[in-house]
Formats: sequence, C-alpha cells, structure tokens
Amino acid sequence: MSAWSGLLGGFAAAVSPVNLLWCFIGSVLGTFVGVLPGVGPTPAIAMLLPITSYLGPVPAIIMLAGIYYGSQYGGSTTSILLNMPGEISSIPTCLDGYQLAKQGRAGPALAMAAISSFFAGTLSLVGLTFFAPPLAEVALMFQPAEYVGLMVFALAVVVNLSGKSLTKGLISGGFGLLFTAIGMDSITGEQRMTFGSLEMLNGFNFVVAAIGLFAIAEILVSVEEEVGQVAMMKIGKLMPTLRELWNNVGAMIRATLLGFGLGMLPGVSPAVTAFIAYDTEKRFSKHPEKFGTGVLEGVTAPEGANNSATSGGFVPLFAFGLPSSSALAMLLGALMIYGLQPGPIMWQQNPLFIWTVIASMYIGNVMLLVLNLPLVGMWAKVCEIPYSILCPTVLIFCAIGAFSVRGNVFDLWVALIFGFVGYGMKKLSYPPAPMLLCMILGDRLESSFRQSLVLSGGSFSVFLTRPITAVLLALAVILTAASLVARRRATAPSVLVEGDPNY
Amino acid sequence: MRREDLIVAVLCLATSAMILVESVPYYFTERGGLGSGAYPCYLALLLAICGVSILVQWFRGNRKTDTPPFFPRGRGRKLLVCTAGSLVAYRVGTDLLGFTFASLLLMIYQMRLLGHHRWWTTLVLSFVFVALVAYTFREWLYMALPRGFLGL
Amino acid sequence: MSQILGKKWMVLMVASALGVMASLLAAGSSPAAQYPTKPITMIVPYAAGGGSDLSARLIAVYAAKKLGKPVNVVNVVGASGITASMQMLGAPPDGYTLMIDGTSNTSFLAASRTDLPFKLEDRTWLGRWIGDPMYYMFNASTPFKNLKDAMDFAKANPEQYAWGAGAQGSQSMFHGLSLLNDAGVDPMKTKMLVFPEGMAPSVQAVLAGTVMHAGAMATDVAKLLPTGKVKVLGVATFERTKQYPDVPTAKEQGFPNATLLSWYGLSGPKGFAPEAMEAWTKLAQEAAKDPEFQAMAEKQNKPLSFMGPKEHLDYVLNESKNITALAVKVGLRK
Repeated sequence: MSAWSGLLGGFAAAVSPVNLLWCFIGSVLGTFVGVLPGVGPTPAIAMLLPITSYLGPVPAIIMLAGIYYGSQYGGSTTSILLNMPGEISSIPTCLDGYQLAKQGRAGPALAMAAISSFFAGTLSLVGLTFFAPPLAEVALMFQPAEYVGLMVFALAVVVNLSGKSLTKGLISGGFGLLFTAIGMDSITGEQRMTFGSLEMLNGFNFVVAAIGLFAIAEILVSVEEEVGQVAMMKIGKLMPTLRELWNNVGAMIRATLLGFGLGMLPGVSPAVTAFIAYDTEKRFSKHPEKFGTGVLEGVTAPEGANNSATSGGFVPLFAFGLPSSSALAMLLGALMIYGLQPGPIMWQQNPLFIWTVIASMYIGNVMLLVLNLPLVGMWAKVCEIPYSILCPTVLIFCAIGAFSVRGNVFDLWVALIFGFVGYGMKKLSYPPAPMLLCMILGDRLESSFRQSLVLSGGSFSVFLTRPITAVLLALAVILTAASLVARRRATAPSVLVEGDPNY
Repeated sequence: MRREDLIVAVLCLATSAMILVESVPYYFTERGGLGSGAYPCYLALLLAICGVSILVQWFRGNRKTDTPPFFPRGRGRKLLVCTAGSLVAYRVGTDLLGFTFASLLLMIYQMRLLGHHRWWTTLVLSFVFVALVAYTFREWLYMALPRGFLGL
Repeated sequence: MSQILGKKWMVLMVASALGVMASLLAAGSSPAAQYPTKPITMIVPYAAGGGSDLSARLIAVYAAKKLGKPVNVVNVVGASGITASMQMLGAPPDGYTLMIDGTSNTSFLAASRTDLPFKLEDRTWLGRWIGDPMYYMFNASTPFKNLKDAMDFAKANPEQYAWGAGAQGSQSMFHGLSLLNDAGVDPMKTKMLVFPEGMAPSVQAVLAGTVMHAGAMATDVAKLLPTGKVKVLGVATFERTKQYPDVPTAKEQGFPNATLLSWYGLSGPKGFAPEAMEAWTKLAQEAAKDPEFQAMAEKQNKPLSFMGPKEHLDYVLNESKNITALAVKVGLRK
C-alpha cells in the first residue's frame, strides 16, 4: 500500500464523528495540560489511561496522541505571559517571549508560537507519513557513543544561554549536572551524595526542578516587586505583521527539520530540541545579540521544534514499537492494553490503524491552530486577573504538577527548594536555563559515557573513531569556539537593555 | 561581580571539596573501570574552576558595589517573606491537613496578603477553586493527593 | 468581584463547593460493610507503560468488574521500587491499598541490595497472577546458532562479549547473569552494558547491533521477530512456551539454572484485612478459570500463572535465596 493511498484511507476513517470528537477532546486537554505549569503530557496520559478501557483503540489513541502534541501548543502561553513555562520544552520561549510581552507584543508572540507550532507540526507529519521506515533505521544507528556526541553537542548550547557572564552560566550548568548525579548511581547501584536519606535516593527530577526554578521563583520575584497585575503590559495587536511572518519562515523550516530529526532519537525529548533550535536560530540570525531582548524568532524556533519533535517521536514508535520518550512509552502501553503491537506486524495486518492516527494528527494540528489563535484574545483577559488571585492558583497547580511526576510527596519539597534557589539565581543574574538543560541531559550523558567505555573496553578513542560521534563532537567544539569569539566581539553597553533580561 | 557572588564562589569551592572527598575513593571500580565517583570528580573540578574564576574576576577589579541590596527593604520584603513563609507552611500543611485543606488556607491567606480582597470574595473564590481542582484531580483522574488527618 | 456575580450566584457556588468538599470527605471514610465499599488503590512501583504497570492494569480492570468498585492504578516511581514498597507498607491494612509485585522490586531487589529498609516477609502476600518467561534475543546477523554457541564464544572471549543487562539489579540483568554463570563464564569479565531506563533500551541495543543479546519479554518478541532483525535463541523457563514452541529452553541446551520467570503478583501491608484477603484470593481463583480474563491476558501477551499466597511466598523466598547466592558469586553484591 503506498503512502498516499494509506493516508487517504486514514483520512476517510479519521473524519468519522467519533474520531473527530476525541481528536478535539485530546487537543483541548493537551493544550490545557500544556498551559498548566508542571502538569505535562506524561502524567496526563498516565491519568487518562483508564479511560481507554471504555473507548475503542482508535479513538483512544487519537485522543492520547492529541494530548501529546497539543501540550506543545499550550506550553508557550504562560511562558510568554508570565515568564513561567507551561512545559519544559517552552523554557527557551520564556527568554524572548516574556520580553516581547513586556514590550506590549504578547499578541504577536502568542500568535507566532501557534503558527510556528502548526507549520512545524504539519510539515513534520509529512516526514512521518512518507519517510518513517528508512528514518527509523537511521535512528537505530545511534549507539551509546553517538549519544555522548549528541549530549556534548547539546551542552555546547549552554554557552549561548549564559548571557553576560560565562562563569555564571557554567556554574548554573555545573550544578545542574551535579544534581543529576545525586541519588542512586544507575550503573553500580551505589548511593551518591544521598547522606543516607531514602528520599534522596531518587535524585531530583528535572520537571520538578523546573517548576521550582521557573514558576515558583518567578512568583517570589514578582511578589517582591509588588506586581499588582500581570497586565501591566497591554496586549496590543493580536497578530504579527505579514513582514514578520515572512521573516520567520526560515526559522520555522529550520526548527521543523531540527525538531523532527532529533525527536526521532530515543531519549531526546522535545525540550532538548527546543533548546537546540533556539540556539541554532541565534547563530543563523543577523543580530544574535538581540536574542533575549524580544526577538520573534526566539519564540518561533523553540515552539516549532518542540512540535516537530513530537512527530519525530512517532517514527520509531510506529516503525518498531520503540518509544523515544516517557509520554510515548505510555502511549505504547495504551496500545498494548488493546493488544496492539506497533511495528512491522501492524503495518502488515492493520495499516489502517496507523494511517488513521496519522491522519487525525493532521486534523488535530488544524484544530489546535484554530483553537489557539482566537484564544490569544482570551489570554488577554486572563492577564487582567489580579496577581493576588493568580498567584495562589498557579502555586496550587505547581503543587499538583510536582506531585504528579512521580507520585512522591518529597518532590513538593524539592520544587520549593528549587524555587528558593531560583529566586536567588534571578537576583544574582545566574541563568536558570543552563541548569535545567544540564539536568535533562546529565543522566543520559553519564550513562552513555560509561556504556561507551564498557563497549570499547575502556578505550577513549571510540569517541574519535566513530564517524557520527566524531562529527558531533567536532561540531560541539566549533560551535563553542564560535560562541566564545562572538562574546568577545559583542559590543558591551549599547546592546544591553535595562535590567539585562538575558542575565 | 557583586559581593554576593563571592558567597557563590565560596559555595562552589566548598561543594567541590565535599564532592571530591566523597567521590575520589569511588573513582575506580574494583575491576579498574570507571566507577560511580568519576563523573562527580570532573564536575567538582568544573565547579572549582568557576569558583576560582569569580574570585579572580573580583580581585581584578570587576566588581560592582553599588548594586541594590539583595533583599529589598520595605513592603517588598514583607511580602516576600510572608509569601515564602506561606509556601513552607503549605508544604507542611499538605502533610498534616491534607491537600485540599492546605490549598484552601494558602489561597485565602495569599488573596488577603497580596490583594486585600474582602473576606466574602476571598472565601468564595478559594472554596470554589480548590473544590473544583481537588475534585477534578482526585475523583476524575484518581490522583492520590495527600490526605491529612481530617481526611481531606 | 461582587459586581460581576450577584449575591444569589455566590451563595449557590459556596453551597455547591461545600457539597463537593463534603463528598470528598465522605470518600475518605468507610463504614464496615461488605468488602469493597469504596475504590481500591493499586500501587505500581514503576512508570506507566512498563511491564508491572500493564500487568497491574490488566488485573485492575478485571478486579474492578468483579468486585464492583473501581481499582485505581497509581504509579509511585523511584529508587528501584523502594519508595512504592515503603508507601504500601505504611498504608493502613484495611484492604484498600495494595501493590503489584514483580521480581524486580522483591526477590531481585533483596538480592542485589544490602540496605533494604524492609524484609520480604514483612507484608501480606496475595498470590501470583502472571508468569512471563524471558527470552534470549539476539540480533539477526549473529553468528551463533544456539545458546551453546554463544556461551562457548563468551567463555573463550569474555571481554568481547557485549550484552544488554537492563537496569542494575533487574530481572533482565539476572537473566543474563544466570546464563553466563551456568556456562562457567565470569560475567564481570564480559561487557555487561547497564541501561538505567530498563529493559526497553537494552532490547533496542540488540536491534541496533550494539550488544549480542538481551533479555526480552514475550511482547518484545512478538513485536520484533517479524521485522526479521532479531533471532530468539532460547527461553529461560522449565518448559517450552505455548506461544513460541520452536524456541528451545535454556535447560535443554545445557543451562539448567538459567530459568527465570518474570512473575507478577499482589501484596498488601502487614495485617491485611482478612475479608479483603479472602476476596482477592477468591478473585484469583476465579480468574484462573475465567475464559474472558484469559482472552484479555492473551491479547496482551501476558501468560498467566497462578499461585496461592503461601505457595507464592515460599517460591519468592526460595528465588531470593538463589539469586542472592548468584549475586554474591558473581560479585554483584558485597
């Protein structure tokens, strides 16, 4: 069955009223979950798994998939309006999005986030439709050594996120890596820096840390500044100008390709791709020093990338039944509850199922665009809610979010403490983004590093002799060097905006 | 660099030393491969370099002494302390009183602290919001949010 | 706000909110009537979508239907299952909290760690439901025709034999360890690749050709065998399985101690309410004979293997003893 005929058959099935309904429900839920700081698609899918017993497999998977990619649409909202990311993959969006909002351009920022998400989401689905099997093979070529190369490459991004002081960025990142080392060493089982505490054995989860570092810290800082209302900025115009749209097309295309390619690799979450996309866009830009002060591309790139990464994630899932992130692992679980095995058997025996889900994803993206654009006006109203009401409600959602990650009450303390740490960091101009990026990458970096050494028998040369690894490491070095040179060259006073938002 | 950055530098160096003490014995496994202590050792090294870098920058004259105080004076400080305190109380309260009740108290307190709303408005909004949230997550989504001794 | 909403609306909202609060309160209390009178919580020590989780959901759906009250699956992730076990053990033994147990968070955990805050016997064992045999999955391009070939190679060149071990102390790791041990290979000399995320990435590594073999469950085999990229050279059970009768057991191939059943069962806190225990035991007995449940399990590739509470506890303790001995011998446990 060719891809075209399969897809058309899928569309025919996907437009049935039941499937459309559940696609809509999934998209709305996903957006909602994305907006809420802390609660992400993973716990949402986990919580809704029981419902799947009442639905048939097709509507259930359509809905759960809708939650997954829908959440990447919603994450940008609070990032732009409140400087609090709704999803980890929207942290880079805070950097420029919030600045845009402060300049009264929240409308175009929100709209651009939605448009970019739609563009990238839809375009990457084309990749999923036509190129899934061969791409899945490429994903298989990534072995531990390649992951080390990839993680180091991602770490090179830290330099660009460091703002004015590289030292501060490195401290932030260094502590981030350190936090991942705390807990039970996954390879030897020994306890590291746990001080004998049972709770510390778990280590810190980066979602919980993000809630503290970004949401709680932001609240503490705002309270101190006696922010009366979030809408000290007017929403102003609701859409970007046509000129701006045109200028962002390049960013959208780059974000799509980057997100889709990286999203396919197991363990590379939409969050990591969003960071890399932001960084890449900064390098491609003619005015990199403006990033962090309110550049629309700084919103377009990460938002597009995190959406195309979700499509990328479905490539190995449908081709081999291998999930590349925890949310997809749960989706896989839902499939298995129905006794469905994604993979070659499904392509042979039940291809209509896969095509229906893919077709519904196209539809879902359209639904989400239609949902999110007019919502921009609604968010304007939400901003008029006094901070005194917004503050506790956000905090309560943060508590729920922190708890939902691991079902662990200790995580509430972790979020709180990271909140205080984040407050200190904001006051002293230490960028929180490197800390979080390193917390996401740290575990995988270390375990891949040690696995590579086991495989190579202790020889470090493996990192230079394997082609993909060597290329990635070389890129990391080149990019870091380029960033350092660019920092030297950046003229200091005239570019810095008052308050130095980029720390 | 501000004066407070010096504290951070000291913190980096202290953390680095602590990690080294804990991890160097575990650098190698019995078989000679890299053990669980290797990675933390490198991190400790990185942090030590950063700490030293701050100190070097400070003594080289890159210092700002005219920055505003870390904790603001006046009303801002009061709000900060009260909010931070209420968060800690919320966390403790979640264990003792349960999620629902603690959230209720938090919302009432913060609405009064930050906005001076009338009691009627505060109570109504808090009750409705917390009830909705607790119901949604506890009953529909089966999330096992902590219950205190009151069962809430 | 009172200019937006009239006073009547406010009263209505408060009343309904109070009503909701009251119902939340009521949901917490329980008069003693026929078990169960309120929803039951089933704790899963691992993330949703994994082996324990799916087994738990399979049982939970069936139990909810037969017992008439919802059985909610709650994931409490952390510390190799220690966190969940502590939570279960600390819960009131009124029959409304139980946990799904598997090898990884009981016998194998006790074997690989000396610092467990609980003893295996300190809980109410409710019996076993599922017994999933583990297969030895090799990459399709492997030069080995059977397990014996593979082990001969490993014996001759242990430093060149790379295999996927899943998480530290997991059943996947012991699956490989028991085979190597039986073949007379020192596993610590081999390239044992530990995958902290669990069995899934180690299976992926087989696909990618990074490792020679890894342990895989029936679901993985069903998924990947048709791709033609993998071969299954053995299964670690006493008898050949019904699903794959062509796969010889490890025992047949000369490795009698490499038998590993990945079982899943239920347990509750110490002093579990007797009527609850009776209900669950009866449920298991019914399920064993119920064709509907068997069909559900088969659809999910979960082979059933029932064992009563006492028998199961003996099995687990025995298994723990054997695996502990293996762990000590191999140098995994100090």
